[in-house]
Amino acid sequence: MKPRFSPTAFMAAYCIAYSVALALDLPLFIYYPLGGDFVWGPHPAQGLGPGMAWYGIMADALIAAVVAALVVPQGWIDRLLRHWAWVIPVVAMLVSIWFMRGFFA
Amino acid sequence: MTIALLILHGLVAIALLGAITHQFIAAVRRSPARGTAFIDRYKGVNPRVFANAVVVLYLAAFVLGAVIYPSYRLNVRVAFEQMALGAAVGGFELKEHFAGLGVALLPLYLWLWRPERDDSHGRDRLAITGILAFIVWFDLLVGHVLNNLRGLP
Repeated sequence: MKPRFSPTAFMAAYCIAYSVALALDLPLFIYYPLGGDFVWGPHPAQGLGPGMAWYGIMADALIAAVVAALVVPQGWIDRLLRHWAWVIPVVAMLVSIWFMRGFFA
Repeated sequence: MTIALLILHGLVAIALLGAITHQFIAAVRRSPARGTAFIDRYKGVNPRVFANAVVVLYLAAFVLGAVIYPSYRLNVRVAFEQMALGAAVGGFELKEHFAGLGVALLPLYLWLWRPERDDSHGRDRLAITGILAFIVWFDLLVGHVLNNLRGLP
């Protein structure tokens, strides 16, 4: 049996999880490129150099998206979001701008 | 090696920019192009043929960017911070977040470009393609400007 996959649920869950992880600063892990170290959880480690949370935020979003895409029926969410699905990524991009605004102050 | 990957990243991004811009403009047109002028021919292609190429190019550019990102973090961002170039750091942060969010759109984008969605999802198709085109343009322009400010070593 072919597993069902909902691209609309994938998009929606990914954008929402990404925004929440960014807003609450909750990456699944942080990568420290100086020594190539991965540290689980959102708490910065000391003495490892600059950390990169982006990969961990992506991982959060991907996990949520895959689960949602396998669980939520495409027909249902397509009817719910038809003509308006584009609002979700636009809002997620605006959330990113909002949380990055400090760099432009 | 990093420089080679950066150049490849840029070349793939330019190909992606061309593909999705061509597709978006062709999808926006309301009637089939009949003229022989360049712009008529540019609009006159079948936009569906770009969908798979756009996804492959987007993922290739994304993976290449993710691979060279640590070099930026260690060698470029630190310099931007020392030079108090907050807007440059912020510009890159937005570039990475938009690129990450663009990945979310790819399965839906492919689904929307299937022939059976022609009549029912035209507006969604145009909107999602437009958002992806915006992300690609924004990311390429920001990346280009930042590389001019300070390139990877």
